[in-house]
Amino acid sequence: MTSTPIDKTQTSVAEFEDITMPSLGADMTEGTLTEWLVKEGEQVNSGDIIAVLETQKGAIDMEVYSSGTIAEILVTPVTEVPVGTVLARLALAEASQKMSPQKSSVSTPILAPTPAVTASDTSTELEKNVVVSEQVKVVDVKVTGVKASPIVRRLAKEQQLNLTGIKGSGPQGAILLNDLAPLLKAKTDTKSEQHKPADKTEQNMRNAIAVAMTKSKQEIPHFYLNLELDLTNAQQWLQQQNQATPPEEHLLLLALLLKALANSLVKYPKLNGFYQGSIFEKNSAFEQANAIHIGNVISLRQGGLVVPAIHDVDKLSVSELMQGLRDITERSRNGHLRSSELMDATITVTNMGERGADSVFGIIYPPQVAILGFGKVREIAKVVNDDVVIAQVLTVSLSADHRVIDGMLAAKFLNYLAKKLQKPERL
Amino acid sequence: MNNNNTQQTILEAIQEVAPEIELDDIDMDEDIREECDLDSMDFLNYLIALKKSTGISIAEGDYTLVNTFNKMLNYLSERLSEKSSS
Amino acid sequence: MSEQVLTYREALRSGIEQALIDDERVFLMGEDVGRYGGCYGVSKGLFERYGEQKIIDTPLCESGFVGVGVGAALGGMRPIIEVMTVNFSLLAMDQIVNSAATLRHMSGGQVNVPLVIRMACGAGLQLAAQHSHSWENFYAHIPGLKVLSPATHNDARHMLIQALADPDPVIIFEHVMLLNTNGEVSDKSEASMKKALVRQQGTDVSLITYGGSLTKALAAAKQLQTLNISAEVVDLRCLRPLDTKAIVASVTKTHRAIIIDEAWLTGSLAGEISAIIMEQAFWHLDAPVKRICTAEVPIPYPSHLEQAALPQVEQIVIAAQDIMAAC
Repeated sequence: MTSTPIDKTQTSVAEFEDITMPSLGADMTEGTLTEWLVKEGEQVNSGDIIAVLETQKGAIDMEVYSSGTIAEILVTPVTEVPVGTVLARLALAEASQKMSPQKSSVSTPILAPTPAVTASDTSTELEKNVVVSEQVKVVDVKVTGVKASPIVRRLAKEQQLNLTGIKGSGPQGAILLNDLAPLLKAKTDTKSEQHKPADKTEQNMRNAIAVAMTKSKQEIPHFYLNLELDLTNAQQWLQQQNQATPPEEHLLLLALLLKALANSLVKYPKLNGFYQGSIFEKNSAFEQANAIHIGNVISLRQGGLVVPAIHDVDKLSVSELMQGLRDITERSRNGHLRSSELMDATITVTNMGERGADSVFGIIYPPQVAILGFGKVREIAKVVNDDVVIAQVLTVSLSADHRVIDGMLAAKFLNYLAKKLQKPERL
Repeated sequence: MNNNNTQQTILEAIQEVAPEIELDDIDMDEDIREECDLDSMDFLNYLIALKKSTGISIAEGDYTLVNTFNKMLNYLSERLSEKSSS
Repeated sequence: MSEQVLTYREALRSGIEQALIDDERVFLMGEDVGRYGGCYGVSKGLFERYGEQKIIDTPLCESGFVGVGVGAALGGMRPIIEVMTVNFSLLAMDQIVNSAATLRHMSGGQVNVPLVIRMACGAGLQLAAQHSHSWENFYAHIPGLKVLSPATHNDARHMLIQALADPDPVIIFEHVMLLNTNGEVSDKSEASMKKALVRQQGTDVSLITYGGSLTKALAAAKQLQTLNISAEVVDLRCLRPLDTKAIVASVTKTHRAIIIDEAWLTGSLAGEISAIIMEQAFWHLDAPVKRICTAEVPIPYPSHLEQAALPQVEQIVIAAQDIMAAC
């Protein structure tokens, strides 16, 4: 009937990827979408920040991990959804390229003439020019967001109400004004207490920490090792380095410690990974991580803490690492941490020395298998070769998961770390 | 830059790392790190902020000369007047 | 303020009489308005009191006498044209739309057409398909016209005077089912002719209506009260221009709207009002807007079918119950 062959690939549905509410920790069950930073139709590249989420860990920037075009936004802010909820759909870049070149060869898609057209002359004329294009199948998108009437949505946004968990009495479970009544009443009751929003965030953070730490202590058989690190050389080296550079290039001890740690993990990978499942499960096991992302415990001034990771520490120079530390510290304060930073840590470090403790026995953050605690730098009198010398030392404490690591390995690891720090220039 | 301005500049630099701190909160002659609860990262960022606003680079060796608010005030005032007179 | 109880018909007559007395430029013109006293008896007795110069019987030719009315208005008179029913106004559409409504524009403002056209409208008297129309929406569609719908006796009394004061053409729709009813009339209007009025305050749902449907809406509101639903009844009064402020204010308050309109659903004023609510009060809605209109059939002759086609109180009540659950 038609002269133009129909290319079926050209009219196929573009490949889509779901952008879902990420899980930013073993304990996280839901998160709140507070802002979209992209619109439907906008092109995005892998790594771009596309939304702002509010989790128990505070506000974080959500990245997209593929390149393409935002095809459809399914959830509107401000909405709390369970982890895994599809927030938007991304039309992947490769597929959309497949679509475009063919478009020019297809004339305006006109449906085949209806039987009503009877004049034989005209019908053959029409048939020549008509291209029957396969109608692009409309993807039946199931709305997974919260259904609520316009006024409910508006009130939720204005008063920062959490709509999940509210039973909607409207059609398809839509939340109506009446359904909000108890929530609004609760709001007016607590309004008199004049709580700042920060308090709510802190409470959520406390909850998150509580959940994670409880789980850790319940499931992970911790054991602890201490070692005193001699940092005399390291401190000297730092001083020399910093003398010659402006403040913005100054290196802090922590950067050296982290680099030494990363190098040590290269040699002792059994401390860098994840333990999934429990010993009672058949396929529980230790999975070695294929990169070294060190999570850093950063306490927030208003209370609470976040643990963003610096990626691939073993591949960074000490100064790059220092810049990375400064960057995450700053972004921890103003709430612009990225989801990848909160999800990817393979091991955690807590630097309690600043707070004035000699050593700290940290609690492993599941599903990691170890956590290192650095105490404060102390000046002590030390015996070296029958002489008493003054040395700068720091106690490192390793908390390790006994399902994966045993004492011998842990001890060797710590000694290796101690050795690495004797030659700071080589880090 | 007169003394008041310098004072303001120092406060602003502190507030970059510790936004909640006000002048009244600080004992001028006590260790600024204790007063404002600054760790080594915070202190470094504070110095970097001061460098940005005053142009003055403070070497690590001079940390003992700037570890209280008043000491910092004097240190900066000296160097700033040096700068303007040179 | 003195109050009287009059029939709707008497209220209308009273208004015409006041107009004739107050302004000598005013005259009434239409089929059977003079010697017969008006097809519906509205002008009964006026011919005898005011004479044939003021109460003019016309030939059976709508386009003709409406045209004459346009001419008279252009010439400085203040004619009240009575088109027997809106059903016959079709024959005068060209004069109404292309002359009365448009001459001011086409003349660049040089002339006004201070014409008032009164038309009986609506169904319920078993006058069947050709004589039961509700075409307020046709006329409310035309720029250059104002369209009024007096639903109460007081408005029937006073809106005519307000309309005559307007320098541009005004069309007044008088629902036939109201003519015999009694109602209170005071010595002045409650509001300017362009304003909608809340006839009954409520908090749960806005019943927005006009003309002959107002009594149904009020009856429904009464029933809904026993069902614990507080309905607010908005009488639009002016259909062009619509008092959008009042509509939005009511919906903002109640969050739910039901529009009762005796016209057919498709292309009705109810659709227009629904769009206005969507545009201007979307974020206050707790449920989709509902419309209760006449079934899309030519109005039947047999009484039970006619009633089945028209909006009824029960429908409004059921709709209000549904809308509380957003169904």
